[in-house]
Amino acid sequence: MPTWTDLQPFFVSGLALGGVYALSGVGLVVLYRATGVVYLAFGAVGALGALIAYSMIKAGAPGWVGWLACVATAAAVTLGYGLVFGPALARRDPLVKAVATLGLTLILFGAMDLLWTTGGGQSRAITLPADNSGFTIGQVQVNWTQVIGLGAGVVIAAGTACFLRYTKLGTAMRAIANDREITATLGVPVRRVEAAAWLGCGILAGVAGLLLADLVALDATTLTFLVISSLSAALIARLRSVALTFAAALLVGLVHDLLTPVQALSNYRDMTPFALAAMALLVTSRHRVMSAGEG
Amino acid sequence: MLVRRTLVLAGAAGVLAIAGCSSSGRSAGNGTSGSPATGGTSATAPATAAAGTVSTSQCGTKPGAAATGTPIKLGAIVTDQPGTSFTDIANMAQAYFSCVNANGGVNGHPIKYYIETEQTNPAQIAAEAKQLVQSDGVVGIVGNTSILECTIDHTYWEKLGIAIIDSGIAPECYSTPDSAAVNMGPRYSSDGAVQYALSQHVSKVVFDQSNVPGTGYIAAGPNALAAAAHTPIVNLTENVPITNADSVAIKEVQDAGPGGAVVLNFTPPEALVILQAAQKLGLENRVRLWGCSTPCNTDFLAQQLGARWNSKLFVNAELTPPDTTSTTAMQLYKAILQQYGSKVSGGVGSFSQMGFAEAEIAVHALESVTGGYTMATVNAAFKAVSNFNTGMNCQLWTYGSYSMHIPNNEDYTVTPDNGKMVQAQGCTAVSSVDPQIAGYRQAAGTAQLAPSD
Amino acid sequence: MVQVAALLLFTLFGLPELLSLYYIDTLTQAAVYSMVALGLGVLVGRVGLYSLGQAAVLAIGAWVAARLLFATSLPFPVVLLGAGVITMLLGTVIGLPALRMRGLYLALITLMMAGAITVVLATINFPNGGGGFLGYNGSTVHIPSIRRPSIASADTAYFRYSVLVAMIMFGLVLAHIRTRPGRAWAAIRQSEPAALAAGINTTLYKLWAFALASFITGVAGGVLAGASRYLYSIDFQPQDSITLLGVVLMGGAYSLWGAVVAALLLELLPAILHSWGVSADWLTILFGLGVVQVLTNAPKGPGRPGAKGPRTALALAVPAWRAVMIEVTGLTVRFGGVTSLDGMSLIFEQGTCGLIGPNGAGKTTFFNVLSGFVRPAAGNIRAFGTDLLAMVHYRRARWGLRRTFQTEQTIEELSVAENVGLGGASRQEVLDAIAFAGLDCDPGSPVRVLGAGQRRLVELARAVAGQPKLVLLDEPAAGLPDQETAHLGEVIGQIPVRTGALVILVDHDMSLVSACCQTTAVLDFGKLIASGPTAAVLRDEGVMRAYLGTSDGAAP
Repeated sequence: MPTWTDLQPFFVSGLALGGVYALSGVGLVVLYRATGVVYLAFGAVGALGALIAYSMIKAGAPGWVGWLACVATAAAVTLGYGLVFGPALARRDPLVKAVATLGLTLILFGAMDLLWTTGGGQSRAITLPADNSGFTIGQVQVNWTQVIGLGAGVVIAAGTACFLRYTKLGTAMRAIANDREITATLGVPVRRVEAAAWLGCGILAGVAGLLLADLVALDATTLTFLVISSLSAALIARLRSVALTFAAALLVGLVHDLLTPVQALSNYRDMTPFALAAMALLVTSRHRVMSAGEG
Repeated sequence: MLVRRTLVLAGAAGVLAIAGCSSSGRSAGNGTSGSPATGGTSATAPATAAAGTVSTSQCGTKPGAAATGTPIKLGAIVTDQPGTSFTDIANMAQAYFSCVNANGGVNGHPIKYYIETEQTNPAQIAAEAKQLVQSDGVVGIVGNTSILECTIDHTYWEKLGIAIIDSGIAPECYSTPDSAAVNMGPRYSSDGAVQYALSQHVSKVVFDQSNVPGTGYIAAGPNALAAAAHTPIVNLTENVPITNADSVAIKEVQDAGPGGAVVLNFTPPEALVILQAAQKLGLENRVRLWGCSTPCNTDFLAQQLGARWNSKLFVNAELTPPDTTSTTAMQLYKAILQQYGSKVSGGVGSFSQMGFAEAEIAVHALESVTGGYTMATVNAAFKAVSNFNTGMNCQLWTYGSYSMHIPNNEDYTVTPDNGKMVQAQGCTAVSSVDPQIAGYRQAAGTAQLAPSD
Repeated sequence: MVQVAALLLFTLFGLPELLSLYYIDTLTQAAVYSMVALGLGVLVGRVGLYSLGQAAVLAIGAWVAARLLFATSLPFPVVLLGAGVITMLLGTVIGLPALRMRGLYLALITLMMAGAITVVLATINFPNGGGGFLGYNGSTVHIPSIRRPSIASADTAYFRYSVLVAMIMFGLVLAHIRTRPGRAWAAIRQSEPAALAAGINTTLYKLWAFALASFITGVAGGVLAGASRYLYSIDFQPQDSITLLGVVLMGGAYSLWGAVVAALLLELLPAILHSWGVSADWLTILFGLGVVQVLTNAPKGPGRPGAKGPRTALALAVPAWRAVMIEVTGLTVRFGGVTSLDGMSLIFEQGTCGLIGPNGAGKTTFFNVLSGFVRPAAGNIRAFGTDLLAMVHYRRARWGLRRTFQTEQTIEELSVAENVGLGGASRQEVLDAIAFAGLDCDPGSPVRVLGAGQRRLVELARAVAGQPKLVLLDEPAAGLPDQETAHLGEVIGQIPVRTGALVILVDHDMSLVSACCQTTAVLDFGKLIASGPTAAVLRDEGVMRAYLGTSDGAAP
């Protein structure tokens, strides 16, 4: 069994990893509550933005222009998807809406691999200014980008939770996600509110994509399918509570990294997000009975 | 900077000179023209070196004359999927062939080259082998570079009597009669990296690889070396793509300890991510040294890593470093790359070097074929290649009719130096402690033995 | 049928002559994936369960087959069967807890499970002739290939073998579709609550679908092992499950031909494009577009013609008269912060009882408690001396609980007789019920061709087929013209007489309630505000106030 000093650095790295999962996980839950869609293309859209930022910076544009381009691209693609396919799918159940975003994922994934081919041994990277400075906790060095990643997760979680709860626009979004028709009859400008939700969604994906490209890797496959692991945190929170998603993400990251020095389980630690999500879902649905009830 | 570089080169030359006294078969050092050290039928490299650029027309026998005869058909299967692409190797071979075709061909015959890409799907790979032979009618296979191909197709090649010239990865590329590689592959390159670490008297070795097919086969070599050196070794694998490089770096450093070495066997992006994580966490000095198998040997990696890794990271180089060598062959390689290699996205580097070497060997063999170019004659010629100077290897290259082939079993070690990879150790034979290496040296006989004179 | 046979013969004997080995190998892969698509099609198209983890199930099947092929010298067909059975058992065990979940969560949990299996596979690898339980020898320099059946070791012969195995699997699915499981699945896909109310054990049939899909995919894995001869974990990624779902949706999840189309999309099309030098990425984009397009345009459920049956007409047997009684005590139901039923206590006597009240009063909630869809916070219900709440919901239908819903719930693709017989009534009982309802159409005719009023009668017939004890009718006359409502009322009034069951009728049409209910109870805001003989209740002032909604709020 590993000693306490052995485990210590993994706490820090685990929190950082948890921050990574939280970025996408919180984004997914927020978007689900605002649009009723589990936006599985979250990672792909972020990856696209990050690759565009990379290309622009490589061509000589200043850093902040690239980052803006990243967020703008993600917002544009998401808004486009929402405007074109949102209304057609609005009446379908959440499952169909989620699977449709998988279609978007495939489209983006294919396009990214076409446009940014896998080169001969070269890899792409995005570096943010905060990468190079950090501080030390115990034996381990922490860099500022990791703190920003974690912090961004907190800010996004808190900010969007408040937005959804306390603002008129947020309430309208929640209402539409719940029942579009009734909300429309109440006089809420459904299309405009939906567009706002998708736009906000896209901006979130762009910001997350940029941070993840720095923290993890600028690789279309990695970033696109990272969302599957982040989904686990969202599922543990049953796609409802943003705060719970954040906590679940941290837990997943911690457990994952803390298993690293444990010989017997180390090779299986990548299962952590999936195993935890499956267990959580099965346990919490034990008492549930199907409900078809309307008053 | 210049002074430093010259010193390093002088040092390297010194090492080579000493090595020259005690080891056999080396390729050209700096500036001196390549000369075969041992006897046997030899093919001299193209004409005397001139210190300037070499004309590409030297690739062929009739400069300027386009070949117009019936084409000689050759084929290749390379992996090309998101994250792993070896197309550069085949594209460089194609560049070489184009050069030859523009300068007389092979006795007037142009080479028609069919490149098949695959996505690590066994059925697809098997089907493509059949496509090349049965539909495209190729008579020889040159330039294969695939994670799985050797395993899947070797029975088929052996049945047909096809002797492939490849850049090997899977075990069967080195352990079967009908495959001979210009590179060392993950196992022997890892051997080289671990061997270097052991030569620095580290107290422990941590050998970490990407979890792709064959990790046990690859690790067997380093484990044998460490056991013979009475040094403990820890074997780790990581699922790729890596999403948590921090914990990987921490684990490696913890396991190695202050006197230990961490040796990596990953594709360049993954290795880079681990090393960068180690740097971000301030861990690079917590072990005695870091090592890496040959995929890390790129200037790109050296640039990305920066100065903190100078003489801290030691990368195994299975091919002659292109930046610090200017033999005729190397200059020809660069010239062909520039003129015909527009599809080679990686530019100067080990991938294109391999493609160059493989094509070079093939053309050399084809030129010796009299009569028709059939599967039988072409592959007999391939197998007859003996002590050929590719200009890219430490040793002269031999195919031969052995039950297994590891013709490239001497390597360099390089280290990053302010953005470029420079030589840290000259041609060193991979230790025969690795049973496969021993087996090959025994099968190949005296022509390939390590230190002798 | 003739066309299918001709196509099959052409595939087996014609194609190998015409195509190069490259394409024969490709089509062998297509045969494998046609089986996988078939399994996924059963889940998605027939039952409505979206699985995002079939590639992982395929991997399990291939793993088991490879292990058996290396470790034993069992004949190849036995190995295929073994792989199918073991995969089926694993699929069932994994699927059982997951089946409690609904659509989206089920899909996402299959995705999670696929991710977990992928990691396990990456660590234990596929068997390659080594020893031990896992059969993986990591350090070998000569990896042996997986063996093939002795009669089919050449590529062309193995292609034929694969096609034959695929045909058997298709036949297996066809057999399921044409018999009871197929009908049950159709009912579940249309509406799970209605299926439950009809007495179908939905959990059992969903599990059956999982088991069937897993079995077929397991067999496919075995065929894949023999086709590829070398198996690597990198070939089974979560992305593959997503693409698989994509092509199944594009090919058509419902029809069996769709599985063939899906397989050709997945295997043949890439091979063709590859030989033209077109990048596979274009296909990925195409599949993505296909998924979005299919989902945006897909209708809820296609119809299918039902089987025809002989026409019979027999009188309904009259059961013995017996006293019937339902006693409800202190029933309370809460949803979140809303109290839907508040301490309802009531006795239902024999005959037909009306249950009325304004919208949101709790009538449908009460029905849902009786059906078992909703658990009350407090209270109990005794029906015929049985504690109804202690009974598992799907058992209640067999016990004799029948229900119709506000929205019409006939299964379009089945015939009248099949619809009526969904709860398991015998052929004779079905015919009797059809006659009782006054349906004068051919029992074998498809429900699709009937008008709304007749469909309601079909539902009614289903509710009374067999031996019902308690029949719950939820606004059966909704949307019907007066004449048909009157006929409906007559039939409803006869149910207790002919079957001895107790009928509870919820409706807003007071003339219907007056016509067929002897007693009526009134709910308002979850509380019982009146009960007794229908005429008296309908004249009651408190009841009228509740319906008209006075400005000072609800009646106590």
